[in-house]
Amino acid sequence: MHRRTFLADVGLGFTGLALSALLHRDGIAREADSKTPSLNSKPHFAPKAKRVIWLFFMGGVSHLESFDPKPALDKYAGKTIDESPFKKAVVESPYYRKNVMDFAGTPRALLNKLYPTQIGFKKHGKSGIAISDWWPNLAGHVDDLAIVRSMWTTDNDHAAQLQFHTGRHVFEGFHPTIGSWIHYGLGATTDNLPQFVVLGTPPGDCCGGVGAHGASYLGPEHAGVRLTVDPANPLPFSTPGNTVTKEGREKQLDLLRDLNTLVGVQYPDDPVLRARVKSYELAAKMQLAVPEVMDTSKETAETQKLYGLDNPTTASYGRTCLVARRMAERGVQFIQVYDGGGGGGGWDAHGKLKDNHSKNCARVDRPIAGLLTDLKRSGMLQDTLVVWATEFGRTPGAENADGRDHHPYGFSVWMAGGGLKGGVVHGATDEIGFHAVEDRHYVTDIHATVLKQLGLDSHKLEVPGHKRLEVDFGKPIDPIIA
Amino acid sequence: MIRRSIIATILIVAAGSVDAAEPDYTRDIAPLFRAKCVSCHGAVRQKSGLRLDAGQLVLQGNKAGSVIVPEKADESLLIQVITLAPGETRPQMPPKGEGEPFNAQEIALIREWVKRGAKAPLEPVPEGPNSHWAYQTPKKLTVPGTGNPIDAFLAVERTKQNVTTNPQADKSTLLRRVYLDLVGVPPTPDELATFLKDDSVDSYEKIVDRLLASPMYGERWGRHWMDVWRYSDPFGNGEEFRYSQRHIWRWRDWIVESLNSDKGYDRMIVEMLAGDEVAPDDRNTLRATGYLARNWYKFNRTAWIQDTVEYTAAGFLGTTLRCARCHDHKYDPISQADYYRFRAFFEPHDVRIDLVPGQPDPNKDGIARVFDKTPDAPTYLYVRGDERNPDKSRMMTPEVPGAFGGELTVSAIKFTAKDFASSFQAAAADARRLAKADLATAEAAVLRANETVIVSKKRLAEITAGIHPKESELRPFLRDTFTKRDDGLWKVQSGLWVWENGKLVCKDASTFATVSAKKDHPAALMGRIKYKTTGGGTKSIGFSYDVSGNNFQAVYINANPDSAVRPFHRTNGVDVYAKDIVPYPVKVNDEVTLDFAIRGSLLNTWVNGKLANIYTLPIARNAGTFTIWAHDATAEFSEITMMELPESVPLAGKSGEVRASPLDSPVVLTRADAEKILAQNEHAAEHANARLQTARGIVVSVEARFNADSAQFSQPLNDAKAKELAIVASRTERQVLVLQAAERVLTAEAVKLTATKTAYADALAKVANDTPTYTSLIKIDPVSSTGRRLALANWIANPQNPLTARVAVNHLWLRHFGTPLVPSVANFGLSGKKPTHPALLDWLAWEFTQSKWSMKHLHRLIVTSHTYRLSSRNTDGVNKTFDPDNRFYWRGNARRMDAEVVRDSLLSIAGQLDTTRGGPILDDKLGLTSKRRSLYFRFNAEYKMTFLDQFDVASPTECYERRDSVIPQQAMALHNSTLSLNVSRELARQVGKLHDSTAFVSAAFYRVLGRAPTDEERMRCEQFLKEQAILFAKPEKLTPFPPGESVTPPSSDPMTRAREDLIHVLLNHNDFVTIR
Repeated sequence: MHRRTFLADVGLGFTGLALSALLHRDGIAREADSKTPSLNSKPHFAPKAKRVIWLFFMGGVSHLESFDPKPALDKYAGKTIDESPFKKAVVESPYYRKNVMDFAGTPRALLNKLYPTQIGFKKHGKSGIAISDWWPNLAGHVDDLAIVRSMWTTDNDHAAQLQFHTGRHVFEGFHPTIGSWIHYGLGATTDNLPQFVVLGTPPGDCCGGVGAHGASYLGPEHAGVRLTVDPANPLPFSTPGNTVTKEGREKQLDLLRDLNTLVGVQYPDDPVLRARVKSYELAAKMQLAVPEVMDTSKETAETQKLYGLDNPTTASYGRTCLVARRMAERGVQFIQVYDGGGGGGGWDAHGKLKDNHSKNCARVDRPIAGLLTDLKRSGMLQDTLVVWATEFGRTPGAENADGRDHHPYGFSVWMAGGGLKGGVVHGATDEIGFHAVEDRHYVTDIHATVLKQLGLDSHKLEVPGHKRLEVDFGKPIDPIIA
Repeated sequence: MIRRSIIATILIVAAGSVDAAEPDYTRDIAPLFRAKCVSCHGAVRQKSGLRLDAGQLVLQGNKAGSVIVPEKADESLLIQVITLAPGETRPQMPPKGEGEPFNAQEIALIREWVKRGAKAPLEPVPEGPNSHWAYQTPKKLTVPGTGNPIDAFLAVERTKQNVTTNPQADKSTLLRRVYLDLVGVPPTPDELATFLKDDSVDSYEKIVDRLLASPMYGERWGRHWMDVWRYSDPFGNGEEFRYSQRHIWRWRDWIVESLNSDKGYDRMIVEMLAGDEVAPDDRNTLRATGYLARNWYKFNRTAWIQDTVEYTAAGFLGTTLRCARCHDHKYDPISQADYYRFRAFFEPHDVRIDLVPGQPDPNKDGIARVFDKTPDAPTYLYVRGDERNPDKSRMMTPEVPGAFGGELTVSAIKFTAKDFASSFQAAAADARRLAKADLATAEAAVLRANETVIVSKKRLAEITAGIHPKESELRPFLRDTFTKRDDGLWKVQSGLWVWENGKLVCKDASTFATVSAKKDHPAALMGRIKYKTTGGGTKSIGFSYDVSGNNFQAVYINANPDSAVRPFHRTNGVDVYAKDIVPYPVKVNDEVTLDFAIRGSLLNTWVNGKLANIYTLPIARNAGTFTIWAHDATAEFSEITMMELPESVPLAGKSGEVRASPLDSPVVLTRADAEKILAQNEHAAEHANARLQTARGIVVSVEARFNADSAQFSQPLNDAKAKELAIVASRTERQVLVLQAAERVLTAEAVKLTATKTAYADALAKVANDTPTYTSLIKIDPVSSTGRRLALANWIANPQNPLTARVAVNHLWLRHFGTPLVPSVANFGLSGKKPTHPALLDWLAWEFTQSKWSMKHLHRLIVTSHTYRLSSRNTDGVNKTFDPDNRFYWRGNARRMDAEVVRDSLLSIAGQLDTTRGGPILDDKLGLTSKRRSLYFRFNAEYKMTFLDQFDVASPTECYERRDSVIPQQAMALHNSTLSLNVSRELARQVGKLHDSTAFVSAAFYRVLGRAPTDEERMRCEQFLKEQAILFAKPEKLTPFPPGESVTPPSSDPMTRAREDLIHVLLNHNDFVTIR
């Protein structure tokens, strides 16, 4: 008996009909009907981007030493904020300590003594946007970037890593992350890779842990799938070994699907059963596709060099970026790449900021630039949105003589491609980079922007029984949209 | 893991322009009071009797009057205190340290609101801590109906809500459910068949009783409580453990055993928090304090005690204490001082490893236990939780938060000898055994020494008579070139040794891989070992001589950059190394010729013909055997030669001297040599005899000390008799000292002879002293304890404690039903969630305390309820719409197996589960090959079994409720792991005896899913078998996956192979991992 006939037979009774409708809606029966991949849900409006490469840097990258030059800091270096002309702008600002919730309860002390910028800035490209000299390769792409210099968040500790992905302070628990909303809002575009993939080490348990790519109440099927950039062992149990044949396995999967479907008739509306059926289909395909996508050896020497694979300093992050591009090519919709995971985070320069940031930038600058070059020359940058983000910036005042503390009041992120304008700067902090003062954006505004480019309206993403706050939806940053 | 509890929604308000024209109390004013005033003027605290957490209360003011005068802002006290007064640097409220003052904009807003009449609505008054449900002791409630009380309580609510229950689950579903729930493995087909046939009314109850009596119950539920109590094996930096403790698995065994014996939960709490105070002499009970030992953290005592405080409160009391470390609790009636008072219970305690009989090395085995090490250690309040900033004016005494009620009395405990009677028996047995073994060794040594004297005499006589020593006497007493294994010469003691290619090869770099010679060596000894080190970690190759029991002398060379010849000796498990070491480069794969010569206390060692070490042994020699060993190294030995060291061969005595190896020069034995050897051997015999006297003296002394100790432990204590025995014991000890002094006279070098004789005379003179001071066979340590932890434990484990029973009952309920009665399982405080069925919760809690805190009683109540047995089908349209989340338990909750249950069930259905219980942890890497139950494998933040990790295993840091995810990695684990492949092939072989496909499919369903297949399922499976057999009939046409790990091969018979595949599919079936 052929499977399709079999399924049709099963669908005779009422419950069977209900089930088959259900399966159809969630795409489980899709393959039985058609081999053509398609979106399960229609987008809310015409998408400009098809996929997102989300580069996240943990510990808090200093905006003052990367994308937000502040000459006033050098001018008043060594002076206290009280002595500078900015006292009022800092402590009497309506934002000061108002929208920050400290993990330890008491607010972090104001680091009063202004610390000069630790690296120079130069203007680049036609747009003449200034970028710090720690990003020499990225600087060549400045005309592709939409830099947002007016970000703010509310957690003054590293659980802001979680917050950047969920839009909620850790005190409010776990919520669906941006990747899981996209996974939930859009259907599959790939049949053999997860649509939401996580590369790199996630935040430590202190800071949200795997919750930063979790799906919370959307259900585990919408959570990010963590993969290791290693073709031999990209994820545990990825191959059954040579005592199993591909033909035999295929038949097994057919049988498994049919048996699970039969149980579904008895237990209709079982979301876990649906998720499990899906998980098997994906697993079977993943075990072939994942090692292939991790294998960067097939790329030309020129491409490998472009990402810095020829250099021990850049090779690791370069390989990750190259794999991200390979995933993007193969239809993965949301590629979340963590850098500096574990503990507070690798960029958390409370001391020796110059050493920390110069080394970290040397590691990632060329790979990121390589990724942008590669996407651009293949035309993929048009519909691939690259996001560069970090949980917060760093204080204008000095900590421990040569570092900066966490700074949620104002910091920078940038985005590129995916239908956004290039070579633009949006929003601004005050003269010493303390408060975001112009076109302020909370983290969910980034979410809304990303969603909009993918054709999704963040206000329409809601699950009955789980009321979302206004702040959860965010607002698209329209001025940077092309 | 960050707690999942969600603190009441906090709105993130982007400050913006405010419409000052129309301040609205609810929108504009109340949030300001909440942010700045309510923590002191609210439900938890009402400073000055004022509350600002409801509109009418704000207007009402306090006893002194209203703080708001409508329309008159300047006359309103509230406005006055939040505004900066002339001459002040900050306003009065909020007080310094309690938050930032109101800013100008906010003050303007409040003024405007007052000016416009201070209109405030009547609001619900937030519940205060005193009336909070969880802080009231559960009372006895009348059960609203007959039958199982759980059903009765739920029936009331269901009737009210118009919810009807599902029918009961069918018998096979129910049996599988209750097996997986209570013992963590499914029933066998036989057990299912018996149950299906049993029509008696109590057939189900009988099963429940049997399962609760099964030792597998303790393993299943032990793992649950290990989640709540944060079980973690030690980890850190390799063997240097930084978190938790060695041998913490003994606590895990205590948990399993306690559950199996249905020890009262109250007693469990007492033993875990204060086992050392209530049963200092009972190793079994001391294991329980692993609960505290687990929190040990090498680098920061505050972090360690913080965890102890926080998780004790969360685990037993469902109370969040963490935030009160830095400031008063924002929601619960717990002040910052309360936090430090709670900490004071734990301030004196510390962790140590107690030895267990037969293992003197605490790294190898022992019991991780706590004790009060610093009874007087002060506890101070840390300002803002910063340990660098203790407020020394505020010394904290151990107390519990007042709002929880109950009485707490701390009384110090002074231990006496009687408290350690059983340890004394064990220690006495050890001491006797040791003394007798020493005596036997000494007796044998005397015999050997006497024989040696006879041989030496004979040799001297022969030389005197002109007869040259026979060649055989100069021949090595041990020589081997390892051409083949010679069991007459060698015994492999440990490690992986093989004889191959004319070499003795140590294949595995382990701890002390040892081969020992079968016969003892002469006292004066020279020898040669040729070898090369081929790998390993420390790469140490060595030999030991004078090996007797656990004691030996040894030399080794390591092949790392710090390589050198290193002599040492081991006495009773303690290694003492030579101090001045001269480096000597030896590298991996170098051929090394190691020569050595030992005479008396002098040892010379040559490496490749060069004298590399001269060493004077610091302790007396002993007769014994010779061993060669590799410590954390692999090596090849090509030759070993050993012979007696002739007296004519001089050795180098001090550093700088140069001597060739005697192995490189011919040896001729002269008469003078023979005389010297005889004299030396006669002296050795004399010494051996003296040692024998000492050993006898020690036996006598141990006996006398045993008698004296016995009198101390006897009850009632007979003072006069005890004293008399103590005097005797004391004298025997001094007699031993005399005998030891006599030995030293015999062995002393000439220059020290006078001194040793004097010492001997002194010792002899002291024998006659009549003093009752003697060395007891047992050391009581510590001699006292503060009793603080016991007081806390008794307060927690009290039926009057409003939280303890409720929290525990909620944990049990959650794990039986999949949903808790109080959704915030670790937070019963004011910011936690309210119980969904408060009466039921309280009745269960009350019942728990009334049944001597018996968990088995609660399990039985729960699983025999009608509610527990309901079908999990989600078919009822009305219920589904009205109560989709099954809040009223109108159906069963289908759930996924816990990680451990998945693995254990796989092994169990194949009949392969190894039910050995308890014991040291197993390597997590063996998870797919070892058949032991999953809870026995290494489990900590760093190492978890990969297979288990796919299925949402607990976080060892904090896990009060597990998550149930469905991810492709789980599919891969079940589809591709060697475990599931092996199980399917093994199972197919077992079930495959049925040659009929229909029977096979049925049997396979019973074995794997615990039920019969439906007709459609059977047909589909039979079709699969047919098709798959056709496929496998031509294996050459098939494409195998790339090679993987070693696994049971599939059958070569196409039909059997098809059946293996069918079983494998069933293992991956949704309903295998699902508990319906």
